[in-house]
Amino acid sequence: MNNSLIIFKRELKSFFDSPMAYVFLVVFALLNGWFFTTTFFLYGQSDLRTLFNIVPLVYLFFIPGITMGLISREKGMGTIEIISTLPIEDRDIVIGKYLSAVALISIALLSTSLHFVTLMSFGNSID
Amino acid sequence: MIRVENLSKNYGTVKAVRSISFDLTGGQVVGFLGANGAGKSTTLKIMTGYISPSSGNVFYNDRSIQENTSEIQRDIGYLPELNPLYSEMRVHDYLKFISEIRGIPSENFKSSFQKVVEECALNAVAHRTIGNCSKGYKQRIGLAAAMIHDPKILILDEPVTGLDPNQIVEIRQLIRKLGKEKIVLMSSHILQEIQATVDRIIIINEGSIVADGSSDSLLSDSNAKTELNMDVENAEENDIRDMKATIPSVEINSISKEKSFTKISIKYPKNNDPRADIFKYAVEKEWTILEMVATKQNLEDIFRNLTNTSENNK
Repeated sequence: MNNSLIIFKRELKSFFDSPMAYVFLVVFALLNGWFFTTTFFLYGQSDLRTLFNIVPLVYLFFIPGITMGLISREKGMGTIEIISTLPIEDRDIVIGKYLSAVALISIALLSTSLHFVTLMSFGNSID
Repeated sequence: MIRVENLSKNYGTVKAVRSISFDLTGGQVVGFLGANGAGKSTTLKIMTGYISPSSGNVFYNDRSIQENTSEIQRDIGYLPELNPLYSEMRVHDYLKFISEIRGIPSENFKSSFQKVVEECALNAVAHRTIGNCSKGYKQRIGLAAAMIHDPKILILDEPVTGLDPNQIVEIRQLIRKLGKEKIVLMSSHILQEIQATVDRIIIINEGSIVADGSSDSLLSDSNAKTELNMDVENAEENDIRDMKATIPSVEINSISKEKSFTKISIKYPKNNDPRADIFKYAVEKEWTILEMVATKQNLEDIFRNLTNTSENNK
């Protein structure tokens, strides 16, 4: 478990050491914001329904984008030879990498809380 | 102690390693020598548990690498041939990451970090991003990562590629120092490198071991031959060829006519020196010897001989 935590930390740090994480977060926030606000003012209702509908669709493209490189990048760079010869189980590598992707996706989801905060402060008669 | 037993590895129809066996004990530096594609890296990859063999096994103190992979990998420091590194990480962070997985307690990390940084001369780049370092530095970062946990066994696949001559000397000294208490197995296709660094040489060709011993013992092998180069005047080619009949130990390599003299190249077994007889023969035939130089066979010749012979046997 400890080893997967080390892998998790390294992976998450490497997301933010390269431009990838920032590009992902910004594009994710913009896309969701755009889809959310284009129809938002038509109803005159403080409703997050559109956002809940659109986030899974955006994830449909973003999650594979993040996860597909997790193992293949190690193979491409050859670093798989380093981690496979370290005293660490394959299971720990997979868990660590999985958790790092979950963390990045959760951080992205956090950016949509901006819409929630906006609604809370400007909307009235919130259910 | 490491015991490699009848190790074979096939990549499809290609036989990369053909049933090789050898033992390694502590306190020596062993050089694994072979041409490109001879099977060196494949053997080392199997020994580190990165790939599994088609047949055969590797035992570390009678424990098989295939059954106790993680446990054995704790004791091994490995520098892969292409030296892959996480280029986006800083040197310090990378070594910290390796040492965390290696289970070095964080309070000991500082001292082991300083030790390898000093030994591998990484002071200037310790906080730089790996991707921005030169090839020589990257090679030494890989080496530092391989030895940060002070392993009992060091497996280094071509450790000196990309280094400049001064760095090569430093790394060579470092490897020799490490070899006093550890098992160090290094591979190379550069003979001088191996000859200068190791106590024992294993020569591998086309997946099989063709020689195994110290460089002195390989050189003193009775099959080793000395080459004698002569420049003589007034020598007829027939007389030169006839020399073999009078002095059976000589073997005429080549005869080439220059303007005023003839160049003769002769080979003879080390333990049967015919130079006095050749001199007498020359006097008898009224040759004038301008030059007569014996060159001892070096490791390079032995290597070439061994690798050529097996090619001929195919």
